[in-house]
Amino acid sequence: MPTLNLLQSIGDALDTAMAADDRIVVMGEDVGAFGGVFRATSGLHQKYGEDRVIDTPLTEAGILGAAIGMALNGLRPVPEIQFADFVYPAFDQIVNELAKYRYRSAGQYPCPVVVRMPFGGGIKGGHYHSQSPEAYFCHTPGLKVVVPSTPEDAKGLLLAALAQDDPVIFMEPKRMYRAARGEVPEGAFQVPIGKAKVVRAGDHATVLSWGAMVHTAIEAADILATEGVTVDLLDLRTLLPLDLEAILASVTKTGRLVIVHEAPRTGGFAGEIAALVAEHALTSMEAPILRVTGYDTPFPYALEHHYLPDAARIAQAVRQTVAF
Amino acid sequence: MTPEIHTPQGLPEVRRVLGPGNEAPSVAALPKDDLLDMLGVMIRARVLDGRLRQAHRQGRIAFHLPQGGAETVSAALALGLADQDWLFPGSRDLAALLQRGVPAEDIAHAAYANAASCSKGRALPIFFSDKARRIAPTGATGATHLVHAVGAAWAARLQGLPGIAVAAFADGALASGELHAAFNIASVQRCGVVFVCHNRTGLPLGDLGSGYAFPTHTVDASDALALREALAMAVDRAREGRGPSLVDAVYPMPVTTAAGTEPAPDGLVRLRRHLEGLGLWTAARDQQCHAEALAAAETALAAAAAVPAPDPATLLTDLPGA
Repeated sequence: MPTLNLLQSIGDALDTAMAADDRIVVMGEDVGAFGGVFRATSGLHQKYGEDRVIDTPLTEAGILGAAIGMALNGLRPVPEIQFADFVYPAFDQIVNELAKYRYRSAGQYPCPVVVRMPFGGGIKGGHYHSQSPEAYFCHTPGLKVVVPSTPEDAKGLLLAALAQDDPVIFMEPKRMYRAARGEVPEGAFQVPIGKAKVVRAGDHATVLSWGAMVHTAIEAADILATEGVTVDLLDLRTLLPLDLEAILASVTKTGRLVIVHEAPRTGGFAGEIAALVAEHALTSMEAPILRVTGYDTPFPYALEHHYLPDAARIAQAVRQTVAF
Repeated sequence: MTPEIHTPQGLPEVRRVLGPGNEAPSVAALPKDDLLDMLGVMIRARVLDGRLRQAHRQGRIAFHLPQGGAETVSAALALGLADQDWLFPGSRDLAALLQRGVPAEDIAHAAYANAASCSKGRALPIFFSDKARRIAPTGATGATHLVHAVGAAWAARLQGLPGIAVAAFADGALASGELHAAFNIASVQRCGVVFVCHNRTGLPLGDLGSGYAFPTHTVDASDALALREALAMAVDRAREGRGPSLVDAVYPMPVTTAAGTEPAPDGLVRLRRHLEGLGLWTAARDQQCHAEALAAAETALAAAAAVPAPDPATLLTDLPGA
C-alpha cells in the first residue's frame, strides 16, 4: 500500500473518481494547468484536459452558481474554494441554492456537488487563509459536512462524497496537507460518511475533535497517558450527519467530555454536540462538558499559535474534567 | 452640491418592428402561426394572472406576484426553445411557463402550495420548477439563477449535448454581483445563454454586453415582433456555440403631457391589433380566446383548491439521508 500525504490522497481520490465517472469535473481558481494553489489537482489537467479540469474566473459565487447549473444538467462538479475563508461570497449560492435545490424542487433537482475547501490555521496565513467556517454549514439543512484528518480517510471520504447525490462540503485541514502521512489503499474504496472513528480508546474522558485538531488531541492524549489518564479520542470525520451513536457510546462509558475545535467558541459546533449529549446522556455525565476552542476573535496572524488550541490546553481541560 | 452626472453619448437605439399603427413593414416574412400562438399564450397568462390576483386578494392563496404587463417579453423569451433547452425564468414569467407547455393546473397547484405542487408546497409560486420541461426555479436575490443558467449551458457544451439556456431577470438584478459573474463566465466559456432583462427603468441599459464581448439587443418590450427577432438572433448565436447575448427589453413608460397621462403601450394590445390588421385575429376570436382562457383558469384554480395541503410528513423528505 503506498504511503501518501493528505494532499496526495485528495489528488488520488479525484483521479480515481474521474477515471471511473466522466460526469465528474474539477473546477476552481488555478486548479487547471497550475494544479491548484496547494497542488491538490496536480496532473489532473494534463490527464483529463481542460474540459474536465477547469480554471475559472475569480468569483466564488460564480463558481458555485455555475457548479449548481452544471449539476442540474448532468455533471457532478467538484468546485474548489481556494481557501475556506474565500467561501463567503459564495455563501448564498451554497446555503440558499445548493443546499435547497433538491428540497425546494420536491426532489426534482438533486445537486450532486462536492465543494472542496482547505480550512484551518497554523500556516501563517492570517485571517483570510486560516478560518474554520464549518459551523455555518452545519446550520444548513440540505448539506453534508465532511472533515477528514488522515490521508486514508481523506481519500475514502472524498470518494464517498463523490458518489452522493446530495451536496457535500468537504473541508480539508490544510495544516495537515503535507504533515499527515499514511498508507492509503490504491484504487476505489469508500469511508462511510456519517461515521466517527475511535483514534484512541481510554476510560477517563472522551475527547471529540475533527480536522487538524485531531492530531493536536493525539499529542494531548500522549501527554495524559504519561500521567495515567486515558482518553477515548474520537475523530468525528463527518459533522453532518453527526455520528451521535458513537459519541453517546463513548460518553456513557467515560462520563466526561471535552470537545476541541479551532473555530471561535461562541456558536461553534461544540455547542451543538454539548447540547445533544445533554439531551441524550445527561445522567451519565460526571462533570460539566468542556470546550477547547479558538477564541472569540478574528483569526490572528502573528499570534495564531496562541489562538489555536494546543496539546497543553486540551490536556488541561481533560485534567479539569477528570478532577471534577 | 449637485453631483456631476455622466450622461452617455448616445444610448443604443431601441429596436422596433411594429410601427405606430402596429403595422409591420414586411408581413410576408413573419411567422404568423408563431405570433398567433404567442398572442394566445399572452392572453392565457394575463387571464390566469388576473384570477390569481383575485384569489390572493380574497385570501385564498397566500402569495401572488402580479405580472404587470410582462407577458410580451415573457412569452417571447420561451418561444424559440426546443425540448433540450433550459429555461431559468424571472419572477414575472408566467407567460414563459405557459409558452413552455406548463399546464395552468400546475401553476395553480404552485399558487395554492398544495400537495400536488411542484415544490410540495415548499416554495413561493414564483420559484416554479419543472424538470420534465427543463424549467429551473429562479432565485430570490435577483441574479442567483443567472449563474445557474450559465452552468447548465456550460455543462451542455462540455458534454457535447445540444441545448441552450434562456435566463430572464428584472432590472433590479443589475446591481447584483452575480449578474457580473454570470456575464463574465458565460463570455469566457462561450456558454450558450440568452440573458433577457425585463427593463422597466425607462432607459436602455446601453451596450452592456460589449464590456463582456457579447452582443446586446435593445428592443421595445411592447413590440412582440422586435422581441421575437432579437430572441431568434440570440438563440441562434447560442445554438451555434458562439456564446451568450443580452436582450434588453425596454418597457415603454407612460407619457404625461398637458392633456393628461397616456398609459404605456401594452404589448398584448399591440400584437392583437397587428394581427387584426393582417386579418388574422377578429373580435370574435379574441372573445373566444378570452372565454377559453378564463374557463381554463377557473378549472385550474378549482382543481388546485380541491387538493389538500402537503402531508406534514413531507416536511422531512427530500433531504440528505431522507
